[in-house]
Amino acid sequence: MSDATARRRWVAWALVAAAAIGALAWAVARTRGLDEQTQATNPIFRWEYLLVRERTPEELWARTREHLELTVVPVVLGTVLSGVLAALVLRFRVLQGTVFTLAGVLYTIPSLALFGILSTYVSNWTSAVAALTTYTLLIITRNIVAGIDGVSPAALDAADGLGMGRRQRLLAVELPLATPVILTGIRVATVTTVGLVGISKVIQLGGLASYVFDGFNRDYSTLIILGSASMVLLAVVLDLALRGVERLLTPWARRAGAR
Amino acid sequence: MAGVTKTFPGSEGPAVAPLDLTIPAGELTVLIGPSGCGKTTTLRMINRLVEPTAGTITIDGTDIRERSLTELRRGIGYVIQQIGLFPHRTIAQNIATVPKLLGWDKRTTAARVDELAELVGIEREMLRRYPSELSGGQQQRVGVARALAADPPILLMDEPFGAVDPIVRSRLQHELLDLQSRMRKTIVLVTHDIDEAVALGDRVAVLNVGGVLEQVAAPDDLLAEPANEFVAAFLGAERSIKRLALSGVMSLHLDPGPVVDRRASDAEARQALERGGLDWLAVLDGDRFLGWVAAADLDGRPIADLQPEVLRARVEPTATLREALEVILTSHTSTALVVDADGTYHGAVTLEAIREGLAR
Ligand SMILES: Nc1ncnc2c1ncn2[C@@H]1O[C@H](COP(=O)(O)OP(=O)(O)OP(=O)(O)O)[C@@H](O)[C@H]1O
Ligand SMILES: [Mg+2]
Repeated sequence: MSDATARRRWVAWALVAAAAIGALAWAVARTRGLDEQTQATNPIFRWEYLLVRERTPEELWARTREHLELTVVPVVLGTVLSGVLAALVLRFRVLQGTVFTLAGVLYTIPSLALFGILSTYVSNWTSAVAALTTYTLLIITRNIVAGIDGVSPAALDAADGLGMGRRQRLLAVELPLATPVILTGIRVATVTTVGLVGISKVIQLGGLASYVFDGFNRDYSTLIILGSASMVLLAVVLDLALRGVERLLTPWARRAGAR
Repeated sequence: MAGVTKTFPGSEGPAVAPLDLTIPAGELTVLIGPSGCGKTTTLRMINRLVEPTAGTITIDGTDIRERSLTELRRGIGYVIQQIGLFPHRTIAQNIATVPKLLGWDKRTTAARVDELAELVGIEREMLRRYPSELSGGQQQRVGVARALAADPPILLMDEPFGAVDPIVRSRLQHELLDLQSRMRKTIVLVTHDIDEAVALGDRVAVLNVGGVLEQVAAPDDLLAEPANEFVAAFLGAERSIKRLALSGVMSLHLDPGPVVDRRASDAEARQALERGGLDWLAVLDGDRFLGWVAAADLDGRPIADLQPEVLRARVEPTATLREALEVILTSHTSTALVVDADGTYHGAVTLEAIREGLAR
């Protein structure tokens, strides 16, 4: 894996963790200042909210689903679009700089602005998906190109020398060998997106992050913790699932690593 | 190859100067020369991984540019310098690459993979492994098996034994010779190891920097008569010793040797001793070799009464001059006897005969 990818994955995880820790710290600070009486009636985390309140399971599930949708759909779309972009870059190398710069510019547009602009033209859900998709492009495109560039010249030479055509070489040699790097890109994009979904609260979405925002508004730490914890959990689950996929797709890398 | 030239864009001189070379079908031709002299480039022009800047290459009279790239390459086995197995494919899948491209059915392919594994000495249980789980020598065998998979009439091998230690290398070389004696393919093999070139090649082409062809000849002729200073320097100082490995003892004028029949008398034995000029005699029974007796043991009794001893200075008719010399030097005598495994006596090899053999 390239250094840049490793660093970006770190950043993604740090974002998620920082959100969770920040929320927790805030909740602790709030309750500290209160007297004992209030503390007893107003604990950091009110388990009843999660376990007893009747509406919670349904609400939690709905928000999880929304969050999941707003993560998976953009990542899938982003992967497809990145595939096209990467194909362009690989075919016409002169485009490499332009494509990466463009994807980089998209990456730096403030999400609030992007949500705002898009939602005046299309539905909220569509604009959230569109915005989140643009953020995945840079990471995934870069990793597809890096993955295919990283295929050993010896393997390519053998593929050519044995008489594989361009397409055969791409499908039978380059893509399989680039799979670990490509999947790492998709994983980083996924974890990043889980964190970014929250901002779509400004257009009445927000998934699990809605809990966090509600918690801040109502000064209710239980909601903040519930929201951040489930976001972290979601990120971890998706990351593990993608690692599972990678193991399934690349048995050769595992056995090689085991030596 | 006629007037074949390659100049890489951005470099001053050509990597391969106009090159005329005929590679006889069914023979193993070795390309040899110092690093960077254009051996790989020359080889890769044959399967069009590199397009010549000028000149034409024909195979069986047909210009290689008349066939489609993939069709041409599938008909030419290629063992690349860096082995280049596909890390994500099992050994069996690696070997089956070209058959799969050619659309062979599963059963035929599987049978062929088994056959090749056997041929190059890869155990069947390894077929399910991935390349990273094999040693360098095993990987090189797989590389050779993969190149042979669709039974191409032509085989290009770029330093096929570069990545292994000398012991494994010499074993793989022997296996290649053995394979070649059965397959009779047209092989072009690149190496920068003169011993390998001499041991494997039917013909050896020596290239100089810039892809200049200095000499093409059979190994023995090359060693006996290098065309110029460069070739001589490249062959190294031990040309005669290298040549010793190239001819067998039966190619010499074998001496009758210091022999005496077991029915001979003491007087006849003493005459034979004088003729031989040595301090021992070989005892024969007809054309069968029995052993040797020392001159000091001749005491007037007939030869039949003496007990012949086991001889160490003895080589088989298949031995090379080098082996004969080795036997002579280690057994403290100047003559080695050529005797079959079943005891048939052929004659004697002397130091003088070896020297004359080389002077030929
Ligand atoms: N693709 C390329 N582009 C530019 N120059 C090249 C290319 N391939 C080879 N060369 C140059 O052509 C010359 C011959 O290279 P080649 O690989 O044929 O040498 P070689 O005889 O096989 O050497 P070695 O024994 O080190 O493998 C070298 O000077 C090399 O730098
Ligand atoms: Mg080379």
